[in-house]
Amino acid sequence: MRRSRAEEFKEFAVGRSSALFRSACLLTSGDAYLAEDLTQETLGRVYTQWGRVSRADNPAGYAQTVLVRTFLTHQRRRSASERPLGELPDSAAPPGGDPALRVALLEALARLAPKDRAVVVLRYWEDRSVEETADAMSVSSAAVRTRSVRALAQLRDQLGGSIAEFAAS
Amino acid sequence: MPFEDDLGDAMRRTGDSFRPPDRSALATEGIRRGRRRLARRRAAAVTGGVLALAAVGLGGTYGGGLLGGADDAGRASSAAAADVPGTPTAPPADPDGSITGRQMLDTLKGLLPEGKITQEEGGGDGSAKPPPYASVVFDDGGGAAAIAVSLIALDPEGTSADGQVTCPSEALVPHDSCTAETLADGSRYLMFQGYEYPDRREETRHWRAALLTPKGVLVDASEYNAPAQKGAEVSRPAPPLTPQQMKALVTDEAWHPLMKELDEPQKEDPAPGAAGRDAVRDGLLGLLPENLEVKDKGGQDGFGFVVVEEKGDGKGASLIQINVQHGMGDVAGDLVSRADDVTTLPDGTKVMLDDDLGTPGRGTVGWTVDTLRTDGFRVVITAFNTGSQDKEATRAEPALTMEQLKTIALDDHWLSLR
Repeated sequence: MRRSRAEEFKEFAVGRSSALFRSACLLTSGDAYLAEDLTQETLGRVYTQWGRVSRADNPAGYAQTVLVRTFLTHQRRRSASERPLGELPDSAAPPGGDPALRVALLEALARLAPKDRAVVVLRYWEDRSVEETADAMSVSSAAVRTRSVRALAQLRDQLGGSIAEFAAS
Repeated sequence: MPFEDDLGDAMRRTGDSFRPPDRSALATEGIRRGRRRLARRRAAAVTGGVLALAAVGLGGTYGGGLLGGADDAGRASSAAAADVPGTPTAPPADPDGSITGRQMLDTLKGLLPEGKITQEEGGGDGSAKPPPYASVVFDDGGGAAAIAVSLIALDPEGTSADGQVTCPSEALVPHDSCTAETLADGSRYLMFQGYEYPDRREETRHWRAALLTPKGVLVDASEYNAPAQKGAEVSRPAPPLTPQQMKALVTDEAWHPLMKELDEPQKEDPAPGAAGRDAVRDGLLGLLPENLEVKDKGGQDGFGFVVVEEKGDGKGASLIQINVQHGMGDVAGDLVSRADDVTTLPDGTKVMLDDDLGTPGRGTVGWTVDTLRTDGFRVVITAFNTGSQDKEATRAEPALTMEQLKTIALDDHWLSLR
């Protein structure tokens, strides 16, 4: 990588790392350590493609997609060793925010299957359409809809009306 | 408020509450990992540029192609052109919005023979990022087939452009047929008949005609014997247009008005410190033992390969490839940790041996000697017991021993490229 391009990537990486890290925190249901790892791995993968990615329409969106794919690959590799439910690791807990909402939502997300969680994060955090979500996850739109319906039902069961209270607060 | 809206709101609040510990550290570690991946990949395989632009066109936009072919999938088709330092500096095509996808589509359709045309896609206008392209599914009655064409501005003197109209070595991209010629007007023309996946894990054929004009416009057309580029069932024995028809397609004057709308190609910078694209290949050729006969050879900046056989012994072809790189000091730890054997020479040069670079399913082995000098200058050489990494083993062992590989990698000749 030539120097100018390396600098350009560094700028991109610093600029995008917060957004990637936040998505990663939701994907890992609050596992900040794993989220950091995923963010770094994602930046590493984008780095190797930077010559083309930097000229593509939307490098930021591309990086978010790589993040989701990296997460799913990681999940496949360690599918047998999911973190026990209900034990949220220390995350980079910020001052402010709504601790109760945060804990409830992350716990509910943790109970979803990883692919379902990825659908929820892409659809409701990144505001992607069903088609865009399908594209990012390399699955069909129908599969995204199925996962979406299932995940929403599960989240509604667990969060119920409480989420509306949080939202109103 | 519907549950979905509440959920979106809760996701945003929760997501926004996370703060990364240190953005700069995240970026730095990301870059380190990227360099490590690159080092691994460059040692494992570098292929010719012939398929490098295949990301353009079928199945949607340039970006979509990128997503589809990224990283893990794309050893054969994507790695080389983007990764080799100094190769593709030109963002292909910067149309001032005047070429529309519609024009591209109309031109393509006007040049196709009788048949049914569906799934029309065209783009490349506006944002200037993806080059102008058009793709359709065409059926002349013999089965639906994807056909795509794009216009790209490339420095006609540069290595990127050269790679687009040069036949790939059979050792790197196995194929059925390939011809490259210079036409009467000085344009260079390539007709490539191969496979979507050079290792033929799917039997989809990929035929490609590419015309590079002296002014630096690449008219790049591809056709398949399937209705989509990746994963679709083969629909017919061969793509619909014959090589002659493909040549007529890319050389037709109908493209001329559109070519004029493309911006001038950016001049390509030579790779820093590179002594010309053939320097590494020629260096390798000069250092081979005399008992080897060279069957094929090639290279790019910083990379060279040969396919050799031992004279008169009939043991079969062996691919030998070598990479010469600068500034790799920061991945020293990773190189050391994955090697089977590491020694440090008196001058501080690390010599790392690895004998398991191959594809177990094909019975291939690759023996690697990786040398890293204290200033980060790296010469890594690998010999395989096959003439092509996409093919089965052709012999029991590579044609060079570890000791011979070491001698070549440490030869003073390479210091001239340091």
